[in-house]
Amino acid sequence: MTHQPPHDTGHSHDAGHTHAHDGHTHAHAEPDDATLAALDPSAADRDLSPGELSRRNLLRAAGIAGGPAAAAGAAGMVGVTPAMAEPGGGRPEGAPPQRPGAAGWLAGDHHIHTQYSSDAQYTVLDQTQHGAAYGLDWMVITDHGGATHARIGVELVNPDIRAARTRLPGTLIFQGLEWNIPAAEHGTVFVTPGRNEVAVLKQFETDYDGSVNNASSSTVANERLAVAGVQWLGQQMDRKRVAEALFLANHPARNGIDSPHEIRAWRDADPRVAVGFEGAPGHQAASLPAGYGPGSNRGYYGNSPGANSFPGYPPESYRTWGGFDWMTATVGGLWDSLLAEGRPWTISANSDSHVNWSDTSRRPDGSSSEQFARDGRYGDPVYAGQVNLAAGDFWPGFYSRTHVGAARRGYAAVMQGIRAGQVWVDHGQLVEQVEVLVRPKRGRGQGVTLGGTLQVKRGTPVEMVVRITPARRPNWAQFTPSLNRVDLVRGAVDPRPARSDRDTFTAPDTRVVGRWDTSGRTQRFELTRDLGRVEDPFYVRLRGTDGNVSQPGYLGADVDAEGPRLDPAGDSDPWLDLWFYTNPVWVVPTR
Amino acid sequence: MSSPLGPVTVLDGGWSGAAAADHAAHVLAAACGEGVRVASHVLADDTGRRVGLAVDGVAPDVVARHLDLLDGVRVAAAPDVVRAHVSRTSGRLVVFRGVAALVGRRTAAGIVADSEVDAVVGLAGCVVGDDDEVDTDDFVRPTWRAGRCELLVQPGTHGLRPFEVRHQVLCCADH
Repeated sequence: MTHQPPHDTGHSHDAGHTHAHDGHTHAHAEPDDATLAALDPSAADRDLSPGELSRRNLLRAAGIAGGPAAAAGAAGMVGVTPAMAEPGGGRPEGAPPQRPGAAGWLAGDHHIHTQYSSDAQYTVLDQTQHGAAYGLDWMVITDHGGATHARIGVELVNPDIRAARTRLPGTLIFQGLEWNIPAAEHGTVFVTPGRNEVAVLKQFETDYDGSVNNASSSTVANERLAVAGVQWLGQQMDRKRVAEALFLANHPARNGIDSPHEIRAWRDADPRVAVGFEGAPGHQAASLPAGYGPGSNRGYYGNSPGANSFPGYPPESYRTWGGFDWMTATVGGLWDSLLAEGRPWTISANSDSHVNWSDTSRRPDGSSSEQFARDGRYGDPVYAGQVNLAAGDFWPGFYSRTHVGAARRGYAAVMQGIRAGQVWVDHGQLVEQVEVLVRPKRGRGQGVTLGGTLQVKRGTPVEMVVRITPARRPNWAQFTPSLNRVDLVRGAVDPRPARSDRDTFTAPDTRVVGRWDTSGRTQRFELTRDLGRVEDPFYVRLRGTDGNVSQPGYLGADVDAEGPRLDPAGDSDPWLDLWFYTNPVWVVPTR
Repeated sequence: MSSPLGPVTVLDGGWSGAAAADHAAHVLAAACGEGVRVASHVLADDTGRRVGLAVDGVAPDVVARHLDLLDGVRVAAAPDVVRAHVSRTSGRLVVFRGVAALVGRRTAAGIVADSEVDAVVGLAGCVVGDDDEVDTDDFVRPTWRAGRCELLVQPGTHGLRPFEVRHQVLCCADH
């Protein structure tokens, strides 16, 4: 076992870690400079002075740098519905308190292909060393499920991943795969590293991949196979074959084949495992205009309904909106309908990197589908001597980031942070940091952060405090983006519509309720919003933009007057249309 | 099956995608001659879902006579599809009146004047004026919605372009 995760095990501070969470976070104290530096998520350890690094390690030991996801944890995120349905609330006895995210967001990408995918080309190290250089803390290698991958690819890629972990210490590199979900789209499935990582992935792929099992068509039997797959992953956690396993649905609206009832069925099959979907798909360079780019649709979202598409989805759902999937981009739409159930469902933003825009490499001579099927991989890429402007992807970390509040820099902690819903996403490095705290007014009790549920006595006045650090350095297109607007989305929690109609995909109460002009801000700033007295359960979430382009939302201007624009085909520059989205915070009254 | 349109014949060729069904539609239409209309619909049963074709404007026995031009195609009893076709609530038109004229760049008004299309409709946020040009790429698949024949369009590189384009993006090469 020479390739243990670099930070997840063997650190003496981990054992006493939870005690720190039971204390106070001192969120309102003024930190000194060393602490500020230590908390700066953009500063790598090597960038810190010895004193600052020491402070960071102290904070890590206290569970502050890296955020409190483990504390909010599964307990905090397991849903509002039980809290409303059951006397005494939904939080288990002895659950740790939910904490605001103070710092330490770990940026990552859970959707990356390599030469072990028949439509990709890079080595694991190509992808991960770029991702690390572009600022990512964690990455998941997700080569396509399929006959060849199940036969040999899933095993052959593992030594490359373990080698990359050694070559890039401090960067968390998960092995996963891109599951062909039976009867549906693709999804990322990944597990914590360990002696069973390959065995679990291989067995999962062999038994539950839609391509391997010829189970792509939208039949009831195939939908059941997908549910069984999610449950099987949960059983691997129960049996401790792997510490953690997660599934997130990828490009969910691209072909209209992830119906609302399927998404709900995955979630309900095991909410520890099926935790979310891509709020924004990868392939964000695909809409750069021909000559300069592929001239396709943003995200390669250019299709129209097919035989397996859910008939209820409108044509607009097949396109991205401001680079985001329609399910997430539509205020009051499908994502909100899940959140309005009071059930967690996280979003993410990833590269889906296969072949990257403006790269100068290509597959080696002799690459072919026959060669791939035989070897399970292409040969390492070679220098092409020319720039590939027809490729539609960005390197991991170059454009899309999923920020996870993890209790520490470790594999399990990142996965627990995702499951806890302590997640926000951005494009083009639009913002450096977003912190959200929903708390009782006048300091009565502590607040909760993204993914959490604030439970307060009915009638308690509550407020939302948002602290945003705008981009303070150029992004990878060499300009510093301007966060010109932040929107507050709010919706009532009412699980009844989804109980009677599993295919519902609207949340009629959800709308944009607030808008802040944040133009000209260059330093960390704070926004406060009075959320009133809590009478009924609700949730709030945030969205922000450079404000360059917008249009009324799909459900109308009353719901979202200035939402993202439906991306024009063939010519929409992703760098000139930037957004961030946060996960929600729920607020539930108790008696 | 009879209808106010005349008889509708539903064909099941086991087509998994629109492109294969479109090809069959064109072969059949060329054989059946003037006046035939062919739309694709989704056929669903316990074995899965696939693309089927609804044919009207030509007698069923004429359709039946030409089925040997197509491999493995059978006439299906699909009352739901017939109902949708007749009431124009769903269906994607492949062969229809005026389709041959919908090539190159055409104005929205010209498309409506010269074909079965009742309206050129933009996706959300896209307002279509009569004089706005649509870059058809010689591939036009209007759909029936709420009794009307609509050509959905969206902003593209050279003005408007149809929502459905000839080349769909494949999800990946492995399956």
